[in-house]
Amino acid sequence: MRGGPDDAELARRAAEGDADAFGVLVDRHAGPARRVARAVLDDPHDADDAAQEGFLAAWQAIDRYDPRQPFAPWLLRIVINQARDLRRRRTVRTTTSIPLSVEASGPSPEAATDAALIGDRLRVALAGLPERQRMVVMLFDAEGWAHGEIGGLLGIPDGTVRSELHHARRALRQTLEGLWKERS
Amino acid sequence: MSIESIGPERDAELGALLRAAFDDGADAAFAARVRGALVRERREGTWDVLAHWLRPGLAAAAAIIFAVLVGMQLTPLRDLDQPESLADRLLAAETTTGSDIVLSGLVGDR
Repeated sequence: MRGGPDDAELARRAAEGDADAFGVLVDRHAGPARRVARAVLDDPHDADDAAQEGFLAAWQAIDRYDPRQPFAPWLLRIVINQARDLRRRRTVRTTTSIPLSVEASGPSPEAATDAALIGDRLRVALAGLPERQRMVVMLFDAEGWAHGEIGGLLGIPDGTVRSELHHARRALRQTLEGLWKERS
Repeated sequence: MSIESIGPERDAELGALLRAAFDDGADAAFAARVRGALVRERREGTWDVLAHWLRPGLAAAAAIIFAVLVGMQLTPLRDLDQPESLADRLLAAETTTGSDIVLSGLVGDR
Protein backbone atom coordinates (compact mmCIF):
# COMPACT_ATOMS: atom_id res chain seq x y z
CA MET A 1 0.00 0.00 0.00
CA ARG A 2 1.56 3.23 -1.08
CA GLY A 3 0.94 6.46 0.74
CA GLY A 4 0.35 9.96 -0.49
CA PRO A 5 -2.20 11.28 -2.93
CA ASP A 6 -3.86 8.86 -5.32
CA ASP A 7 -3.14 8.84 -9.03
CA ALA A 8 -6.20 10.90 -9.94
CA GLU A 9 -5.23 13.65 -7.52
CA LEU A 10 -1.66 13.68 -8.81
CA ALA A 11 -2.92 13.79 -12.39
CA ARG A 12 -5.19 16.72 -11.52
CA ARG A 13 -2.24 18.61 -10.07
CA ALA A 14 -0.12 17.71 -13.08
CA ALA A 15 -2.82 19.07 -15.37
CA GLU A 16 -2.43 22.37 -13.52
CA GLY A 17 1.27 22.35 -14.38
CA ASP A 18 2.68 20.65 -11.29
CA ALA A 19 5.62 18.72 -12.76
CA ASP A 20 6.53 17.29 -9.35
CA ALA A 21 3.11 15.64 -9.10
CA PHE A 22 3.66 14.08 -12.49
CA GLY A 23 7.11 12.99 -11.30
CA VAL A 24 5.46 10.98 -8.53
CA LEU A 25 3.31 9.28 -11.17
CA VAL A 26 6.48 8.49 -13.10
CA ASP A 27 8.01 6.92 -9.98
CA ARG A 28 4.90 4.83 -9.37
CA HIS A 29 4.40 3.56 -12.90
CA ALA A 30 7.97 3.31 -14.18
CA GLY A 31 8.14 -0.46 -13.59
CA PRO A 32 4.90 -1.46 -15.35
CA ALA A 33 5.56 1.00 -18.18
CA ARG A 34 9.02 -0.45 -18.81
CA ARG A 35 7.76 -4.04 -18.65
CA VAL A 36 4.87 -3.37 -21.01
CA ALA A 37 7.23 -1.63 -23.44
CA ARG A 38 9.46 -4.70 -23.21
CA ALA A 39 6.48 -6.84 -24.18
CA VAL A 40 6.37 -4.92 -27.45
CA LEU A 41 10.07 -4.33 -28.07
CA ASP A 42 12.78 -6.92 -27.66
CA ASP A 43 15.57 -4.48 -27.06
CA PRO A 44 15.59 -3.13 -23.48
CA HIS A 45 17.06 0.22 -24.53
CA ASP A 46 14.40 0.68 -27.18
CA ALA A 47 11.78 -0.29 -24.62
CA ASP A 48 13.05 2.34 -22.18
CA ASP A 49 13.10 4.95 -24.93
CA ALA A 50 9.50 4.11 -25.78
CA ALA A 51 8.45 4.17 -22.13
CA GLN A 52 10.09 7.56 -21.70
CA GLU A 53 8.41 8.91 -24.83
CA GLY A 54 5.16 7.54 -23.45
CA PHE A 55 5.56 9.42 -20.19
CA LEU A 56 6.40 12.65 -22.02
CA ALA A 57 3.39 12.21 -24.30
CA ALA A 58 1.22 11.56 -21.24
CA TRP A 59 2.54 14.74 -19.62
CA GLN A 60 1.60 16.73 -22.70
CA ALA A 61 -1.86 15.15 -22.80
CA ILE A 62 -2.50 15.06 -19.05
CA ASP A 63 -5.37 17.54 -19.30
CA ARG A 64 -7.22 15.01 -21.45
CA TYR A 65 -7.03 12.28 -18.79
CA ASP A 66 -10.38 11.52 -17.16
CA PRO A 67 -9.67 11.19 -13.40
CA ARG A 68 -12.77 8.99 -12.99
CA GLN A 69 -10.91 6.27 -14.90
CA PRO A 70 -7.85 4.42 -13.56
CA PHE A 71 -4.62 6.13 -14.52
CA ALA A 72 -2.48 3.06 -15.31
CA PRO A 73 -4.45 1.82 -18.36
CA TRP A 74 -4.55 5.35 -19.78
CA LEU A 75 -0.80 5.71 -19.37
CA LEU A 76 0.08 2.22 -20.59
CA ARG A 77 -2.03 2.64 -23.70
CA ILE A 78 0.14 5.65 -24.58
CA VAL A 79 3.32 3.69 -23.80
CA ILE A 80 2.19 0.79 -25.98
CA ASN A 81 1.47 3.13 -28.87
CA GLN A 82 4.89 4.73 -28.49
CA ALA A 83 6.50 1.29 -28.41
CA ARG A 84 4.67 0.22 -31.55
CA ASP A 85 5.66 3.43 -33.32
CA LEU A 86 9.26 2.91 -32.33
CA ARG A 87 9.18 -0.70 -33.50
CA ARG A 88 7.86 0.43 -36.89
CA ARG A 89 10.68 2.97 -37.16
CA ARG A 90 13.24 0.37 -36.11
CA THR A 91 11.84 -2.13 -38.59
CA VAL A 92 12.31 0.36 -41.37
CA ARG A 93 15.83 1.09 -40.22
CA THR A 94 17.00 -2.47 -39.70
CA THR A 95 15.69 -5.92 -40.45
CA THR A 96 17.76 -7.79 -37.90
CA SER A 97 16.01 -9.33 -34.94
CA ILE A 98 16.97 -11.22 -31.86
CA PRO A 99 17.59 -14.83 -32.88
CA LEU A 100 15.54 -17.34 -30.93
CA SER A 101 18.56 -19.66 -30.90
CA VAL A 102 19.80 -17.56 -28.00
CA GLU A 103 17.88 -20.07 -25.88
CA ALA A 104 20.31 -22.80 -26.77
CA SER A 105 23.41 -20.71 -26.39
CA GLY A 106 22.46 -19.13 -23.10
CA PRO A 107 24.45 -19.57 -19.94
CA SER A 108 24.47 -23.07 -18.50
CA PRO A 109 22.69 -23.73 -15.23
CA GLU A 110 26.04 -24.22 -13.58
CA ALA A 111 27.34 -20.87 -14.77
CA ALA A 112 24.43 -18.65 -13.87
CA THR A 113 22.20 -18.11 -10.93
CA ASP A 114 18.77 -19.66 -11.06
CA ALA A 115 16.98 -16.35 -11.29
CA ALA A 116 19.18 -15.06 -14.09
CA LEU A 117 18.78 -18.27 -16.06
CA ILE A 118 15.02 -18.38 -15.65
CA GLY A 119 14.88 -14.71 -16.58
CA ASP A 120 16.91 -15.29 -19.73
CA ARG A 121 14.75 -18.20 -20.81
CA LEU A 122 11.51 -16.40 -20.09
CA ARG A 123 12.58 -13.28 -21.99
CA VAL A 124 13.51 -15.35 -25.01
CA ALA A 125 10.32 -17.39 -24.80
CA LEU A 126 8.24 -14.26 -24.46
CA ALA A 127 10.00 -12.66 -27.43
CA GLY A 128 8.98 -15.69 -29.49
CA LEU A 129 5.27 -15.16 -28.81
CA PRO A 130 2.97 -13.00 -30.92
CA GLU A 131 2.71 -9.48 -29.57
CA ARG A 132 -0.86 -9.87 -28.39
CA GLN A 133 0.00 -12.94 -26.32
CA ARG A 134 2.98 -11.15 -24.84
CA MET A 135 0.82 -8.20 -23.86
CA VAL A 136 -1.95 -10.35 -22.40
CA VAL A 137 0.23 -12.57 -20.23
CA MET A 138 2.32 -9.64 -19.07
CA LEU A 139 -0.67 -7.48 -18.19
CA PHE A 140 -2.69 -10.29 -16.58
CA ASP A 141 -0.14 -12.34 -14.68
CA ALA A 142 2.65 -9.83 -14.10
CA GLU A 143 0.72 -6.57 -13.78
CA GLY A 144 -2.53 -7.82 -12.30
CA TRP A 145 -4.97 -6.42 -14.82
CA ALA A 146 -8.47 -7.87 -15.29
CA HIS A 147 -9.53 -9.56 -18.53
CA GLY A 148 -11.92 -6.73 -19.31
CA GLU A 149 -9.24 -4.08 -18.82
CA ILE A 150 -6.87 -5.90 -21.14
CA GLY A 151 -9.61 -6.38 -23.71
CA GLY A 152 -10.40 -2.68 -23.55
CA LEU A 153 -6.77 -1.75 -23.93
CA LEU A 154 -6.07 -4.04 -26.85
CA GLY A 155 -9.49 -3.71 -28.45
CA ILE A 156 -10.33 -7.43 -28.27
CA PRO A 157 -13.18 -9.38 -26.58
CA ASP A 158 -12.74 -11.04 -23.19
CA GLY A 159 -12.85 -14.47 -24.80
CA THR A 160 -9.93 -13.58 -27.02
CA VAL A 161 -8.01 -12.34 -24.01
CA ARG A 162 -8.56 -15.68 -22.28
CA SER A 163 -7.56 -17.58 -25.38
CA GLU A 164 -4.38 -15.57 -25.89
CA LEU A 165 -3.57 -15.95 -22.20
CA HIS A 166 -4.00 -19.70 -22.46
CA HIS A 167 -1.60 -19.98 -25.40
CA ALA A 168 0.95 -17.65 -23.85
CA ARG A 169 0.94 -19.47 -20.53
CA ARG A 170 1.26 -22.82 -22.18
CA ALA A 171 4.29 -21.68 -24.18
CA LEU A 172 5.96 -20.10 -21.18
CA ARG A 173 5.20 -23.10 -18.98
CA GLN A 174 6.73 -25.39 -21.58
CA THR A 175 9.88 -23.29 -21.47
CA LEU A 176 10.01 -23.51 -17.71
CA GLU A 177 9.33 -27.24 -17.67
CA GLY A 178 12.10 -27.72 -20.19
CA LEU A 179 14.41 -25.86 -17.92
CA TRP A 180 13.42 -27.95 -14.89
CA LYS A 181 14.01 -31.17 -16.85
CA GLU A 182 17.34 -29.91 -18.13
CA ARG A 183 18.50 -29.25 -14.61
CA SER A 184 17.23 -32.48 -13.03
CA MET B 1 -4.61 -26.36 -18.70
CA SER B 2 -7.64 -25.41 -20.81
CA ILE B 3 -9.11 -22.10 -21.88
CA GLU B 4 -12.09 -22.75 -19.62
CA SER B 5 -9.78 -23.19 -16.67
CA ILE B 6 -8.45 -19.67 -17.08
CA GLY B 7 -10.55 -17.78 -14.62
CA PRO B 8 -10.04 -14.45 -12.96
CA GLU B 9 -7.24 -15.90 -10.84
CA ARG B 10 -3.67 -15.23 -11.82
CA ASP B 11 -0.74 -17.52 -12.26
CA ALA B 12 1.10 -15.96 -9.36
CA GLU B 13 4.25 -17.98 -9.92
CA LEU B 14 4.49 -17.15 -13.60
CA GLY B 15 3.68 -13.50 -12.89
CA ALA B 16 6.44 -13.24 -10.31
CA LEU B 17 8.92 -14.91 -12.67
CA LEU B 18 7.95 -12.54 -15.49
CA ARG B 19 8.35 -9.48 -13.28
CA ALA B 20 11.70 -10.78 -12.10
CA ALA B 21 12.78 -11.50 -15.68
CA PHE B 22 12.26 -7.85 -16.60
CA ASP B 23 13.37 -6.35 -13.31
CA ASP B 24 16.83 -5.01 -13.86
CA GLY B 25 16.72 -2.87 -10.73
CA ALA B 26 16.80 0.26 -12.86
CA ASP B 27 13.27 1.56 -12.38
CA ALA B 28 14.44 4.37 -10.12
CA ALA B 29 17.19 5.38 -12.55
CA PHE B 30 14.68 5.30 -15.38
CA ALA B 31 12.25 7.48 -13.42
CA ALA B 32 15.05 9.96 -12.74
CA ARG B 33 15.85 10.02 -16.45
CA VAL B 34 12.19 10.75 -17.31
CA ARG B 35 12.04 13.50 -14.68
CA GLY B 36 15.13 15.08 -16.24
CA ALA B 37 13.55 14.89 -19.68
CA LEU B 38 10.43 16.55 -18.28
CA VAL B 39 12.45 19.45 -16.92
CA ARG B 40 14.24 19.87 -20.25
CA GLU B 41 10.98 19.72 -22.14
CA ARG B 42 9.35 22.31 -19.89
CA ARG B 43 12.29 24.63 -20.38
CA GLU B 44 12.33 24.16 -24.14
CA GLY B 45 8.55 24.35 -24.21
CA THR B 46 8.63 27.79 -22.60
CA TRP B 47 11.07 29.08 -25.20
CA ASP B 48 9.03 27.46 -27.95
CA VAL B 49 5.94 29.32 -26.76
CA LEU B 50 7.84 32.59 -26.64
CA ALA B 51 9.35 31.98 -30.06
CA HIS B 52 5.94 31.04 -31.39
CA TRP B 53 4.46 34.34 -30.24
CA LEU B 54 7.44 36.51 -31.17
CA ARG B 55 6.57 37.10 -34.81
CA PRO B 56 2.81 37.68 -34.35
CA GLY B 57 3.60 39.88 -31.36
CA LEU B 58 5.97 42.05 -33.34
CA ALA B 59 3.50 42.24 -36.22
CA ALA B 60 0.69 43.26 -33.87
CA ALA B 61 2.86 45.92 -32.24
CA ALA B 62 3.86 47.31 -35.64
CA ALA B 63 0.22 47.38 -36.74
CA ILE B 64 -0.81 49.30 -33.61
CA ILE B 65 1.99 51.83 -34.04
CA PHE B 66 1.07 52.25 -37.71
CA ALA B 67 -2.61 52.75 -36.84
CA VAL B 68 -1.78 55.35 -34.21
CA LEU B 69 0.48 57.25 -36.62
CA VAL B 70 -2.16 57.17 -39.39
CA GLY B 71 -4.81 58.28 -36.91
CA MET B 72 -2.69 61.23 -35.84
CA GLN B 73 -2.21 62.26 -39.47
CA LEU B 74 -5.90 62.05 -40.37
CA THR B 75 -7.42 63.67 -37.28
CA PRO B 76 -7.21 67.51 -37.51
CA LEU B 77 -6.09 69.17 -34.36
CA ARG B 78 -8.95 70.98 -32.73
CA ASP B 79 -8.67 74.70 -32.39
CA LEU B 80 -8.34 75.16 -28.69
CA ASP B 81 -9.60 78.74 -28.93
CA GLN B 82 -13.02 77.56 -30.08
CA PRO B 83 -14.71 75.66 -27.25
CA GLU B 84 -17.01 73.10 -28.77
CA SER B 85 -18.45 70.97 -26.07
CA LEU B 86 -21.16 72.02 -23.67
CA ALA B 87 -18.72 71.71 -20.81
CA ASP B 88 -16.19 73.85 -22.62
CA ARG B 89 -18.81 76.48 -23.32
CA LEU B 90 -20.02 76.48 -19.73
CA LEU B 91 -16.51 76.88 -18.46
CA ALA B 92 -15.74 79.61 -20.97
CA ALA B 93 -18.99 81.52 -20.43
CA GLU B 94 -18.59 85.01 -19.02
CA THR B 95 -21.71 86.90 -19.93
CA THR B 96 -24.40 84.41 -20.78
CA THR B 97 -26.00 82.38 -18.05
CA GLY B 98 -25.49 78.66 -17.68
CA SER B 99 -29.12 77.86 -18.34
CA ASP B 100 -28.96 79.61 -21.74
CA ILE B 101 -25.98 77.57 -22.68
CA VAL B 102 -27.56 74.31 -21.61
CA LEU B 103 -30.76 75.15 -23.46
CA SER B 104 -28.95 76.08 -26.62
CA GLY B 105 -26.95 72.90 -26.31
CA LEU B 106 -30.12 70.85 -26.16
CA VAL B 107 -32.17 72.58 -28.91
CA GLY B 108 -29.31 73.89 -31.00
CA ASP B 109 -28.68 77.46 -32.01
CA ARG B 110 -32.18 78.07 -33.35
